[in-house]
Formats: sequence, structure tokens, C-alpha cells
Amino acid sequence: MRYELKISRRDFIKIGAKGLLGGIIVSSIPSLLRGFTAAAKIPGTYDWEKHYWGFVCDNERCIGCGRCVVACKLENKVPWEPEYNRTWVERYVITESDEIFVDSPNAGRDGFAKAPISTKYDGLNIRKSFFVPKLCNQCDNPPCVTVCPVGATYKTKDGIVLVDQEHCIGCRYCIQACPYGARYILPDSSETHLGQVRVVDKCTWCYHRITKGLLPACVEACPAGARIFGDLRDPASPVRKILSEKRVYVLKPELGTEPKVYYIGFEKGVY
Amino acid sequence: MEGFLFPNEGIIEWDLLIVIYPFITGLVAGAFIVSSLYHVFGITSLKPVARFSLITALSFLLVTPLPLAMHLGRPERALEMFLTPNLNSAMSAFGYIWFVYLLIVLGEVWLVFRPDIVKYAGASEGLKKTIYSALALGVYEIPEEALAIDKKIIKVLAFIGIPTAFLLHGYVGFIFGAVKANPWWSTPLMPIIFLMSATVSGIALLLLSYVVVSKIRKTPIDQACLRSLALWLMGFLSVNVVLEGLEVFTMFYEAEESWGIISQLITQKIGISYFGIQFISGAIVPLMVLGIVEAIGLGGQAKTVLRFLASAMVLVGVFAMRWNVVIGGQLISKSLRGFSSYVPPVFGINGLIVSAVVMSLPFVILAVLIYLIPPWQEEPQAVRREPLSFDSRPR
Amino acid sequence: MPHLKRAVALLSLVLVFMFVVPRVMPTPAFLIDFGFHTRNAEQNAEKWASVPASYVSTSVCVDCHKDKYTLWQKGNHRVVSCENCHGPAAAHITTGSPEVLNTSRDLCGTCHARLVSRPSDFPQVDMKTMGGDAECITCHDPHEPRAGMPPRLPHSLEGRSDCQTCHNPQSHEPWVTVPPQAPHSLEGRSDCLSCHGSSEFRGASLPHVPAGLGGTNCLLCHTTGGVKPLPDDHTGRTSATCLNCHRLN
Repeated sequence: MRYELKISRRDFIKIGAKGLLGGIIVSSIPSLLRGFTAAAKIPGTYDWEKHYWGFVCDNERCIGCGRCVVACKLENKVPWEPEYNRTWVERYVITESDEIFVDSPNAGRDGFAKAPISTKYDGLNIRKSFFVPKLCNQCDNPPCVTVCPVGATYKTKDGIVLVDQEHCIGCRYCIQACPYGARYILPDSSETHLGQVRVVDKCTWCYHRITKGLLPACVEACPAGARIFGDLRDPASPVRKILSEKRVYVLKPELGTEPKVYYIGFEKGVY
Repeated sequence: MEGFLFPNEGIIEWDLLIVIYPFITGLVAGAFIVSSLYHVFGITSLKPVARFSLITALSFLLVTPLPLAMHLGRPERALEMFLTPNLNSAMSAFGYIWFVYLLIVLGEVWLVFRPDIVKYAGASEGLKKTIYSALALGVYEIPEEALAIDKKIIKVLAFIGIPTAFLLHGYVGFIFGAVKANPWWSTPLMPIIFLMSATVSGIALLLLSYVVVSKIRKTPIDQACLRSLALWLMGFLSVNVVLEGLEVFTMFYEAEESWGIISQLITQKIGISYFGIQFISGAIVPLMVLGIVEAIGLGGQAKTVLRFLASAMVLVGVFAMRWNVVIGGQLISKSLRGFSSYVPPVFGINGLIVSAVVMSLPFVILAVLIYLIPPWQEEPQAVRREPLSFDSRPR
Repeated sequence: MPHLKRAVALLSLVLVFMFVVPRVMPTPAFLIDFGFHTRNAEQNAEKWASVPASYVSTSVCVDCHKDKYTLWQKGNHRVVSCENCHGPAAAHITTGSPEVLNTSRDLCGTCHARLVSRPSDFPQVDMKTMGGDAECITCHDPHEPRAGMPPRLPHSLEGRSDCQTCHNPQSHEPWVTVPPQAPHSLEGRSDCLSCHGSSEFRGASLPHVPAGLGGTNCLLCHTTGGVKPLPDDHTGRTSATCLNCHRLN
């Protein structure tokens, strides 16, 4: 028992030191999280508590012109080389023998009208073919936010997932975790608006436009009405109307990410 | 590239550096487990390698953060992992688990080697004396009761080190296993597979190192120790093979939507690396070889050579496993319709040469540690030996 | 035991320096980029929100370009924003820098080239035969593209392969006066589709016959005093010809 007493004193010191460490870490968490939980406004008249944004893509209207891709690149200064895209358009070709061919040449930014892209599937017995616009789904249960080791990516109160590019360490875990391929890492020399390099970037639904009452650049550009944007909290918004009237679907719902981009005219085999 | 990839895919984000990271941490976990088998469970046949495996674990542990920091887009921000971790992320676990584990291993190494350090502090002079005195923290007496307390603490550290070692490598497996977006990675078996292959690689490394170092020092190999290592290797390797085989067999049997592209991946894209190196030459053949060594009577030399070869094959197999998981998972597109390709460059920060340098760093550290605090215990009264000394002055 | 005391003291010192000091001391500016950056969601969202916009939205263009805007508002291209063809206008508004004027066939073809993947009711043409090599704007005003164009077909082309069967001014069949006579001679014009386009009529869709009423005599109800009287331009038509134009559902 005398031996035990000596041990407990030593162990007590060692345990105490480890407890100190643990206490420091645990006690600092609330102060770190305070930045996230405090409700605050963005300066100006925009109140992020009053909106919750949603998006609809209509595959039955998309004509594959790719003007949305160009508009996004110009609006957000997305790098042209290497080929990174915040939004892109895919073409699906389904033949009579149930084969599915998918392509997205240059992410669709030059459209699909020029040969050889326009003639690529000419010999096939095509049953149906259509375009699918893609962009970040701003998931309600975003796997990218969960896996960021330093918490650089986060979901705003109005439903947009953003990346704090001054905090991002460029580990690319979020790129691995996104099931939709929406994220990419900025190259060594990029001239984006926030001027950061080698950190992760993604579509923000043109956060700088929607907080000023404008539409995202891709929605503005679309001539076919295939992209619709609106406030899920506003019963008069076009997105709410579509969601109450039409049958819609989302990408990979089985993963539980709760995407906020709803598709009209979805098809089996679109991932 | 072939088939259809999302426009942002096509570049392998986690490349060679991320392949060698779990390989290095795996060796840490495996080496530590061997050390704990002696220090906690009292497997005396492993005594000759117990202290050696401990400093091997330490050498590899010190190098662990290097490939991670090097592959970051912004390595200068790496400290954020410690200061502002997002505790929901498995990757943030690196900060605290690695740090705590470092403290445990450092503590254990220090306590185990303290008698030697104190002895050398008294027997050397100049710069070496300063180093040893600093390591001894200026305390030069070792009364009996201090030794007894140290032994107890060593046991405690070795004991809590085992689950921490499990965490250190299990979390890496969880980093991959919890990514639902990637069908090749997403399985609950991943942390256990990583852990088992880590243990396997650590034991194999120790077996190899023990043979190599004994040859360099021209000391006889303790065949009982070697046999013990080989048997533990066989045990863990069998479990490992079963788990890895179960993972892929279940995918094949359930034939989910993703099986189409995964079957193409493992039969065509990484077929040789997966079936050829990871399973056959990395597990089945070594098991057979080690089994034969146990079953038939052979001379000591033959047994050593065969066990050495088997361990080398196991190490290559475990490296292939890391490659197949990390690179293989990124080869498949999330559209489930195409493949990227990856050939590691030779030069550059994520190239073969840099990776080879990073892989050899732990051995450099190990050499320094062996020079400073030799782990051998055959001649407790010997003056400090210099098994890897680089100067040629006659003693 | 002195060695343990010193070890613990050293450990505590290291821990304090690593975890307590950075949290308590204000971070010097040059270190912020070196891992000591704290995260703050509102500040960062504010940063993203204050990025300048390059596209201004079409309603701004009318302030200076009233005539073009009015023309554009009436035509089929009212769904195509000005900036879609002319590029982002934010710089143009502040500095007056010239806007993009891409008049190539390629730009028109981006939307209007016939592709099997496009919805069938979208106006598409075969770019290889339509217009040769000339720029599309030679005939089509990009701000009002159908100005001066031949009218679209008011009926679908299903089951109608030969336009001359009905629109032949020479034929003596009694019912061929029903569709309007072609306002021009059909000599040298065998391919009606090359001017009138083959896309489905839009806007002038004829009402369909409800399913189940296919064999009924339409005039039972659709007489002048009936359920829904025939429109004025239907005088002289008999019930035998209703299904020639009005599709069954």
C-alpha cells in the first residue's frame, strides 16, 4: 500500500498534466465555436436569417449551349486553364440497346454544336438524348463541411456552403468527400476575386450577387429557362412554385446529403 | 483517362505522399505493438527486439507529419490542424492523436533508456556529455525505487499506448472508410484493415531490421525471437488477408451499382497491384513460405533467409495495399463512368525521389538513436558500442 | 522522484506554449497566415458577399439603349439576356469600354444548331445547309430574329409529307381551299421546310380533339349556336376535314 501511494502521486502528476492539456483543449472549443453560432448580419441591408436559397435545373429545357459555363467563368474569375469549373453541362445519349454515353467536352463551355462534338454519336441508334446542368448542390447535410479538418468550409444561415480561403490549408479532403465533383483546388497562380492560391474553391451560387438581390450569373445567362433560382422561404418564388407543382429529383439522394438543386426531367443513370 | 469524368476530376489530389503516410504510420503502430507484446504481455521471446522496436516506432513517428505537411496546398497553415481543429473531421484527429501518442512513446523511450542515458552521461565528455545530460534532465542517480516506479510507468504507458496506436492508425482507415462519396473507400472494415496491415508491416519491418542489424553488428540472431516474430506475423497476416478478402468479396456478392466500375478497377486498372502484389505476393506466398519454415526442418541460416524474404514480400504487399486504396479510389470517377490515370512523376515535391528521401529519413533517425542509445542488452557492462559509427579511428 | 518532476515540468511548459499562449496573446499580423488564423463565419461570408459583380442584369441596359431594348423585348430573343451575347456589362457601364460583338455563325449555332439532344420544340436548324457560310445576322436581326421571316407552320408535320397536297393552288379537290393558298407560286420551291422551318408551331397551337370523341360528328356541338362555335375562318368546312388539322389527344 505504501508502494501504491507513491505510484498514485507520480501518476497523479502525470494525469494532472494530461488533464491540463485536455482542459485547455476542451475549454477553448466554445470560444472557437462562438464565431459560428453568433447570429449576425452581413453589413448592408441583407439579412441572412431571412432567406434560404434553392435551385432548380430543368433537364427538359436545357439546350446545351454552355452560356452558363462561360458566364460563371467570367463572373467568378474561375481559371480557364487548368480546366476547373464551378458549373458544367453534361450530355446524355441513351441508345435503343440501353447503352448510356455521357460526355462534357470542355465542361460544355463551347456548347455541343461544333463538330466533332456534334457528330460524335451520329452512327448510333439513339432512343433519347438530353443535357444535364451541374453545379454545387449546396447540400443541407454537406459531407464537405464534416470532413474539413480545420473547419474552413462551412454552411451559412441562408443555406450556402462557402470556403474560408484564408483558413483553408489545402488538404483536399473535401474534394474527396464531395459526391458530385463540385470542388477543385486553385492552381499556383490564379486571379480569383479573393486572390488566394492552392486552396479549395467551389460554386457559391454567386453569393455576392444573391445577397444583393441579383440572380446567379448562370441563371441570368440561361436562354432556355433551364436554371431557376429562388428563395425557399418565399412562397411566391419560382423555385417554391416548381417544387409544389412538378415532380423533382436530386442527385444521389441515397447518400443523404440533402442537395438543394432539384432536377425536373431526371433520368435513371444520371449521377 | 477513359470514359466520362466530371470536369473537376482527372487530377489525383492525394498522390504518392499520401500513399507513404499510412505506410509510415503503419510501421509505427506495428513496431509499437511488438514492443508492447514484451513490455505489457511479457512475451519474453521478443525481449531481444523490444527496445529496438520501441526506438524504431519513435523514429518513424517523428517522420509521420512530414509527408502530410508537404502535400498540403498551404503547408504554412499546418498548425491550424492543432489550433483550430474541426472535431467532426476524422482528419483533425491527426493533431491530437499524434501528439498524445508522441508523448507516450517519448515518455516510454525516455524511461526505458534512462539507465543507459545516465550511464553514458557519466562516461562521455564534450558535446556528447551535454546531449546525454540534457536527455537525463540533469538527474544522475537511479535509486532502486526510482527504477521500480519507472518500470510501473513504462507498463502503464505501453498499455495505454496500444489503444492509442490503434487510434493512430485506425483513424487513417476511418478517413477513407467514412467517405460515402467514394464506393471503393466506403466500408466500415477500412479502419480494421488498415490497422491489421499496419501491424503486419511493423512486424515485418522489425524482422527485416533485426536480421540486417544483426548482420552489421555480426551478432548471432536469436532464433527464438525470430520465430516469435514470424509467428506473430503469420497470425496477423492471416487476419489481414481474411479482412481484405471479405471486403472485396462482399462488394462482389452484393453487386451494388458501383460494382460495375469497381470490378473494372480491380481487374484492369490496378489488377496486378491488387491481386498480384497485395494478395498473392504480399500475403498468400509469404504465409505459405512462413508456414513451410515452421512445418519442415531447416537449418538456422535457411530459416532466417526465408523469413527475411517473406517479410520483404509482406512489406511490399502492404505498400501496394496503401497504393491500391489511396490511388485506386481516386482513379474511379464519381460519375461511376470513367477512370483517371496516375503515374507518379520522378522529380518535384510529390515525385519518386522526394518520396524515397522521406521514406529513408526514419532510418537515418533510427541510426542516430542507435548511436546515441544502443538498444542492445546482450552486454550490459559494455562501454558504449558504435555499431553504425562513421569515423574510422581505431578504438 | 526528481526526474519525473522535471519531466512533467518540461511537458507542462511545452503544452502551455503550444496551446495556451496562442489563445491568450493577440496574434501578430505576420503570423496570421502561418496557422494562427481563427475562423469566423460571418466575417468570411461578408467577404464573399462583397465580391464585385461583373454581370449587371439586363434591366440596366434600357437606360442607354432604349430602342434596341424595346425591339428586343418584343422578339423571341427576349429570353436571351443582353450580356449573354455581349459579355458582362459592369465594366462597360463604368468605363464605357466597348462590348463584345461576336457576329459569327458559331455563336448562333451554339444555341440553334440542330442537335438530337435538344428539346424538339426548340428552334433549331441544320447549320450545314442553312445560310451557307454567311453570318446568320445577314437575314436575322439578333434583337428581333423573326422579323421579316416566313411564318411558322400553324400545324404539325406529322402525317403530312407533301405540302402540295393541300396548298396546291392548281388542285381542284373541293377541300383544298380550306388551308390558305400559298401566297407565292410553288414553282422552284419543293422544300417548304427550308424557309418555314420544321420545328413545331409555337403559340398558334390548334386545340386538340379530346380522346374518345374521335368518331363523333364535330358539328353536333360546334355549330354556330352550339357549345363552342366555329371560328370565323372556318366557314365552308365540313366535319370530314376537321381531323386533318386538329389532332386527337
